[in-house]
Amino acid sequence: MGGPCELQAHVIDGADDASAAFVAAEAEVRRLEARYSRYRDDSVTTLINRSAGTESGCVVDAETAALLDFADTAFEQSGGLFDLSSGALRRAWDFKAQRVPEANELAQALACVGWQRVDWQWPRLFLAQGMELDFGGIVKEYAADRAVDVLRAHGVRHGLAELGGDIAIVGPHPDGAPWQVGIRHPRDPGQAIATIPLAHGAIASSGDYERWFETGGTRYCHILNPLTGWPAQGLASASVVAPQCLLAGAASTIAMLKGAQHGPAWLDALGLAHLCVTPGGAVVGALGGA
Amino acid sequence: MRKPSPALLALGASALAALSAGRAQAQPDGNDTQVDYRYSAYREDALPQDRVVAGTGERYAVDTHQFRLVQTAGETTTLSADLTLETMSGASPRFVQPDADGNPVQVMSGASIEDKRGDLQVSMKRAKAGRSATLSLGYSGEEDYSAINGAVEGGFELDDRMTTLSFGLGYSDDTIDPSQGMTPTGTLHDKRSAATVYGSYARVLDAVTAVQTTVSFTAHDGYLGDPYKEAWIVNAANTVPDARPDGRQQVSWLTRLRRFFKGADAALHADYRYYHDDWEVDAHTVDLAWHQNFGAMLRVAPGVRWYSQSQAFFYEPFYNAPRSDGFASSDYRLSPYGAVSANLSATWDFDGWNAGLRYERYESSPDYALGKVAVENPGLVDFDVASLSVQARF
Repeated sequence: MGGPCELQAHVIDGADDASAAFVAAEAEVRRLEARYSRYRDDSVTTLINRSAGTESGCVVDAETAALLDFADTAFEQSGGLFDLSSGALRRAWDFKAQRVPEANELAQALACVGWQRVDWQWPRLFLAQGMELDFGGIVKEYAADRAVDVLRAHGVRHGLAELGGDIAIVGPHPDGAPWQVGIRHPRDPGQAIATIPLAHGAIASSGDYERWFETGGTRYCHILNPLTGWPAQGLASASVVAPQCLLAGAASTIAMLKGAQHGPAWLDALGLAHLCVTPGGAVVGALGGA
Repeated sequence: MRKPSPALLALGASALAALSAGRAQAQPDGNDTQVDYRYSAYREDALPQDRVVAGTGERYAVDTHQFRLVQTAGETTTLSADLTLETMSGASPRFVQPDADGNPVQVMSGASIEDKRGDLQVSMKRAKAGRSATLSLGYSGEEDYSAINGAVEGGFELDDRMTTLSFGLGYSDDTIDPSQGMTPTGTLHDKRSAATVYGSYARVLDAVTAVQTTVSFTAHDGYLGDPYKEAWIVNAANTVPDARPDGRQQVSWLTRLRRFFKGADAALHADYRYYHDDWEVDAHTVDLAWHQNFGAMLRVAPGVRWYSQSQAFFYEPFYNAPRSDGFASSDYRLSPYGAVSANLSATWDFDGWNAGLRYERYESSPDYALGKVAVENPGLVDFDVASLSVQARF
């Protein structure tokens, strides 16, 4: 997943062998990494992207179909801000070179973005020429959910799975006490800006601190708006608690893109506990835990 | 806690659906089961009355029930079992004799035949890293016939992963105990065997095209006649039992082409088979089918087939005098003829299920044969086959 992965569990009497549970959960994470990697020649992502422009499209398996359905729902609920096809914007934004793209470069990349142009007819997906899908925005969170599912299937009742800062909970500590989850300070990633107790569900964060550059006094982060092609502005980070990490992750990305004015309000309307931090360090919203 | 918003419900429901789909995907416990059932109704046309003497022209009807179970055990092993149960009834051609004008007319078997056949084939295949090995065993039994057979097959992919070579060996040991009725049979008890060896080369030519070519050789040994058939000898004004050489060596060469047309979302299947045996039968088969997808769930495939064969060296519709080698057969299957058939099939796929319907009309005639046929065998068969199938995977 290109990030640290941690599995924690308390093993109690009667549960399966803990090592078997960890091995299975790790195997599940690796399975998903392999399936949805953009860099593997045999991944589902590669197969889908290779089919772009063909009239026969690509028939996908049930799991991929369900992820596409989720992406479709998130696209709809976010007014087009959550878009699995926005990866094409990477062609314009080079974070290594730290360069703001020219308007024509951005327009060119934007022409290849737009979930509304993806023809998704279960189980067949048709991508227009030049378009590509990137599951990178959801697969880490989904993998955390799946790892928890696997741990539970092995009898683990008390534990969590953390993938690159996103956390899905198996269940509270054996005494019923919640896990204390630290929320990273967006301007000081080594520090927690808040600690929240979490006994169930999941928490995911998006922030402008993961990949970014600053030029002319403006911070350009890797969370790109599929409607404008420009990076999210107005929030430094958004952390969301939801029943599933997949949902929490999508919601936090959408909140980042909606910005300081609309993001927290949208999460409130959705009914998800959240903690958003402005670039100035002000905390918006409260996480009551779950 | 307040009531969740409709948006949250929609997102939550689709996230949950993804998780449950992932659960199914993650646990291909290597134990997939596939069950198939197919029913086929095969009906031969009655022979025209002017071609038949003695009896009606009523012919065979066969009802077939096929059951198949395929079980994968782990990543490398596949076990399969095929059970076929058939009920056959009707009459079959017994011999041909000349009418008053010297034209051949068919004499049918008198009483309607009722028979049942059961056939069980089991096989185990192991495949790993582009190599596979299959072992098969089978038994087939009916009232007057039983056979046991076995086969081994092996296949491997070449390093380019575009080429597969396979080979196989098969053997069948058959016992014939003809039912005794009103007319004497050509034998009371006999044996025959068949040994087959084949080699096959399959190659993926490009992303949408594949070819396979297979050469096989079969040697039959033993009683190869049909105990219920006879041949008419004119100068004796009587019949002799069907008599054929006690060996037959067959070679066939089958080449298959598959090409997918992206724009049409359809595939062309084109097959050609050449056949030759030491009874001097040469045969050609051309099979063409167009498999058209309509969405992901429906596939419709119309197809046509053409067949032509030359006659066995000892075949005659009837004989003026006995042959010096003692062979005699007026079996229409050894006569020169051609055949065309047209078929249409449709299959539906839905979530682990598959249902299919197929219909075929087959007509044989000397007019379809490659060469000129001097005398048409009056027993040439026309038939319809309709089948329906269901398949479930879980």
